[in-house]
Amino acid sequence: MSAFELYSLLAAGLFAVGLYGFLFRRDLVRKIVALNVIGASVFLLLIAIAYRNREDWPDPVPHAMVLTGIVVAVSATALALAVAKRIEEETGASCLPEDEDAE
Amino acid sequence: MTLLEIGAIVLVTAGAVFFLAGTVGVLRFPDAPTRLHAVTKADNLGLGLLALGLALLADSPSTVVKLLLIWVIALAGSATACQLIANAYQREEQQVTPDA
Amino acid sequence: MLERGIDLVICVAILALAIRLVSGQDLFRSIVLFIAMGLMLALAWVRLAAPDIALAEAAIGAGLTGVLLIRAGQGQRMRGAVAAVAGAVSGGGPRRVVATAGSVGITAVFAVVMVFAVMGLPTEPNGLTGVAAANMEASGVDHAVTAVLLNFRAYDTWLEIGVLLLAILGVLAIHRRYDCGGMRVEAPTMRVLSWLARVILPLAILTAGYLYWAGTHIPGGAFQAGAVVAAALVLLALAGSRGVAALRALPLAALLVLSFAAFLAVSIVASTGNGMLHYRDGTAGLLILGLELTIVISTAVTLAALFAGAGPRAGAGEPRRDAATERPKTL
Repeated sequence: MSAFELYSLLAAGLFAVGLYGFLFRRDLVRKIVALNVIGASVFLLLIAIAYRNREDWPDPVPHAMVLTGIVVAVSATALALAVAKRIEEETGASCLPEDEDAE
Repeated sequence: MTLLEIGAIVLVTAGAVFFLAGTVGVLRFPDAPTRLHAVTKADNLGLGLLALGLALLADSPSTVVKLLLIWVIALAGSATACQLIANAYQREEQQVTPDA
Repeated sequence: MLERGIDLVICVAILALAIRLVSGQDLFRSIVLFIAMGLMLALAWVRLAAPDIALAEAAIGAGLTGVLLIRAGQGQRMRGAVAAVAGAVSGGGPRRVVATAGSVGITAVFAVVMVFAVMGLPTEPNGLTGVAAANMEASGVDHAVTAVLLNFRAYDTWLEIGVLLLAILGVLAIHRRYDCGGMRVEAPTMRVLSWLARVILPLAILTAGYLYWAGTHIPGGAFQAGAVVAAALVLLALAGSRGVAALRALPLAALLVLSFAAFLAVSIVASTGNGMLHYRDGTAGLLILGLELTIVISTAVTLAALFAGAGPRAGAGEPRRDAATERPKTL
């Protein structure tokens, strides 16, 4: 099994795990963490493809995209955490209203 | 195999053993202070041995300096983190014990 | 064989950490596991010949995201423990078991679909490596990733800076704060921490300068450099250093928009007649160095402000004051 196959399989697994957390955990901070796991899996797939495409060096375009992605992910995470905190301040709950009696 | 390479292998292996011991300590010790003890002491020594072993193989003096710098900064970082965690643990204990 | 073994260990460790962090009960524990996963990912990036990403992942993905999450989780920690106990009492029963089995089942089906999708990817190279290599001469830098970021696809990077700017504006708006410089002194102040923060700051600036300069020919670059400085600033803020108070004197808003404005200026002035962000011949190297310097400054200040802006307000911990009584402070 090549490194490309191994890491792209890991990306598939990570995506599923992250999706589970995002869909089925109620707590908003947990959902945000799970979203970051999903992000990591997408980055992994891109970098695995860049590694497959290497000649003298790996494909720099996916590398640049992932670098951009990591910075965008931390910005989005900070914004999402701010929204989650505000929701908690307003409603007293750390999950969305429609999730309150679920689980 | 030169004498330098043998020395490097011995040092890196010894470092790995210390890391292993530290990890076992984190997994097996019962509470935060003892675990801290395992992490800071064993891992710092392990990292030092590792850095020393790699320094023997380095091809330029600047690499040696960088490796030692990494060790020193990691030491400062882990000492600080250890102190902070221990402080937090103590505060939590104080909050818990009066009720018990 | 040994090589693939290392990859396998890294992959299994990442997947195991992800499963535990998603399924665990204690939020704080999950966040720590997430940081650990970030560090393992950094190893994976090195294995996949992506040192730029490894640097960014360790500094931003694991480091700064972790700090943001821990801060957000702080308030929830005690309640989470209470809720876990309550859940154990009120939950349980066949309904809960069915729900868990259902959600795990759906995820498993999805995982299988994903695996088949990934296995169906073509295995032969078809990327842009050759195109990038052919144009390196004209890019003004010697490192391919930097060439893509600041020349071939500079437009993307400009918008990325825009995202950073929007995020900090959003955070400040949501928290109804008008000053992101108001980093509060955390109590109790730790002397060891403030010592470390003071020692680290000059080292961080030195490292950032190196990363910034190195980015033109070897792995490194402006975003990693900015993240390193931001991390040192966050450490200073945590230590409650008086040095941070000096930050408030800086024209923070100007620093936040500096890089976005620089890209705008370059696209208007330096590229006229050539198309957007299309550098004139011979000016690319210099323009890239200039733009990168603004990226370092803006990224550092924005990432630190994202942390500070999300922090507890002065007087946090007390019941929330009415918004009307909260006097907007000037920047």
